[in-house]
Amino acid sequence: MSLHDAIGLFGSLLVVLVLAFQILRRLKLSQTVRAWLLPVLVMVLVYSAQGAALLYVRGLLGDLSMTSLALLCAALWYQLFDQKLLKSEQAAPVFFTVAVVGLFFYPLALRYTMLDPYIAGFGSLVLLAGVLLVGLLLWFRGYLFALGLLTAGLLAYVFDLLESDNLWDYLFDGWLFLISIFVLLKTIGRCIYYKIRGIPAA
Amino acid sequence: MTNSRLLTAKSLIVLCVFLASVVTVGSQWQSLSWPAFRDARIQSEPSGDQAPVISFDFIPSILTEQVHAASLVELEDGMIRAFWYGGTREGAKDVAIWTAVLDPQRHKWTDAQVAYTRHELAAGLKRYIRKLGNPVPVRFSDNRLGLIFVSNSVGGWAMSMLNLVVSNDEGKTWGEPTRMITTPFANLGTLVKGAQVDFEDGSTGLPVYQELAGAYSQVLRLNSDGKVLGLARITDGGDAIQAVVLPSSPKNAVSLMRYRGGAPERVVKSYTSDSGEHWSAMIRTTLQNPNAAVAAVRLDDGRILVVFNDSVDERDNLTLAVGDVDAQSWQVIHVLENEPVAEQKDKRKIEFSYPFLIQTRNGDFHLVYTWHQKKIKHVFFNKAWLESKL
Repeated sequence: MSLHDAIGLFGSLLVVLVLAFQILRRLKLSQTVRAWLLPVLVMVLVYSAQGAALLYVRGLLGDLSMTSLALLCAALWYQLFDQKLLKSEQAAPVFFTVAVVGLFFYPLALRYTMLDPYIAGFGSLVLLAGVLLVGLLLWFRGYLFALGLLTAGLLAYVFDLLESDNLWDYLFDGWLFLISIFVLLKTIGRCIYYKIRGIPAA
Repeated sequence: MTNSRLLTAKSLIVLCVFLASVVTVGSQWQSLSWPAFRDARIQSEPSGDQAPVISFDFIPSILTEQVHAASLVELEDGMIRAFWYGGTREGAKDVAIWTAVLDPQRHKWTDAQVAYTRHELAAGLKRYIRKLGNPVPVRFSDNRLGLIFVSNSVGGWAMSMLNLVVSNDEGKTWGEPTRMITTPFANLGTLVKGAQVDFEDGSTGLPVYQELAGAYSQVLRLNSDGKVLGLARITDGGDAIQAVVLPSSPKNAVSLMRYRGGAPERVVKSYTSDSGEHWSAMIRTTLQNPNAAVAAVRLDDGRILVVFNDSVDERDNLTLAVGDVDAQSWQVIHVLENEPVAEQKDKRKIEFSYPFLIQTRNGDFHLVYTWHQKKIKHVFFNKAWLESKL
């Protein structure tokens, strides 16, 4: 199995585990039970029917970006151990950046105009300048987790860890964009609700 | 953010690693540039005393109920290998990529054989594959034969992706597949139809098209390992797909495309003057087009030989024409098929579609196309025959 396949299937595994433990949380299992359940679920997913479930999920979702993989790991950690590896104020800039960039990126990359930003991911120094700018802004604002994710994506690209030859695919993916939009809308909705109700935001 | 928080060890380490990674990527990208076309036009000998020949046959022993999207490549020994997809029906789980080889001297085809199956692709890519589609062969600069074909894991053709397998024995056997990542949303939406163009740096250009959110044409540039080096958009929006790219010089080319937009239904064209990195707005040609694929090669005198459905609504005829694409003047030289749907009394499917045309090293022409989705028809004609028609 190639490294690309291993990482791709790892992403599928994370998605299934996060969804599974999200459902299992309703059973209010203890942390110990959850921790023991993890290797059992992994064995079942990897070895039953030669990993058919993971192959199917990978076929449906494609391979995820490094940012998605990192966020899934953090989400799984929280579901297993009730510990947040990252606080909301660290995760928020990630979702916000992906949502805002994606709102311009996807319509252009998938259909509209002759300006296709996806093409830049194969080797545009203009894109790299943009990445540098965003990274410096994140650092200046103290969003080290988000900067760390950006760096992880760049390093993964340098070492060719994913199937894709395009830098964008290392930084974010379509599924992360959809989740980011959801998070952004939820945040905006909550702010509007607090404002209407006259409740100070937390 | 206060300076004291910025200047912590953790913060500075993260910043340094970030900057180092940006510089590393930048140094990799600094040397990248879009190369010029390599002139791959066949400079064959004049036909001289050659007798004009045109012949028609079908690829024999087609073992599937439906077949579609045939393509051709000339092998090193002068044989012609054809590929197509076939199965119970388009999109069925039993659809495979099939192949057969023509001996052009003896005008004899080998029996059709399976080249690649859905199960082989799924096992090789370690993911679920639902169906296979259009295959197009490519000859890399290191002379290895590649086969790029469409697959998808969910939904219709709009959610397709491209795969590459490479052969070291001219298509008798194939290596492990790799996926070509060409779009940002789960790599969905890319299909292939047209023949390759070559670049001076040894990379290969392949006209591809997108169907996920729009319908537009692109040029994909890849190296002999199948690594995607770049993409260029030929059109935008929802109208033009399945480009055929025809260079006329290292910098200039025209692309002819299938048009899916409103009336008047015509083959559309677009021009590049920077080797395919940027393209002009598309313009209608005077060739009719019923939302159907076209095939074309550029002749050594600069004119274009095109195969197209000369209709605005049906694929019930297939026509050969030669013309000057700039002057928009075309001469129909032969009607290959003509069974007007309106005149048919029975309800059988009439379709002559997805032509694929090549010119071999000795100047001959081979054309394949879908014949009522039941067979793949093959047409051979030599340079003398073409010259006799002009």
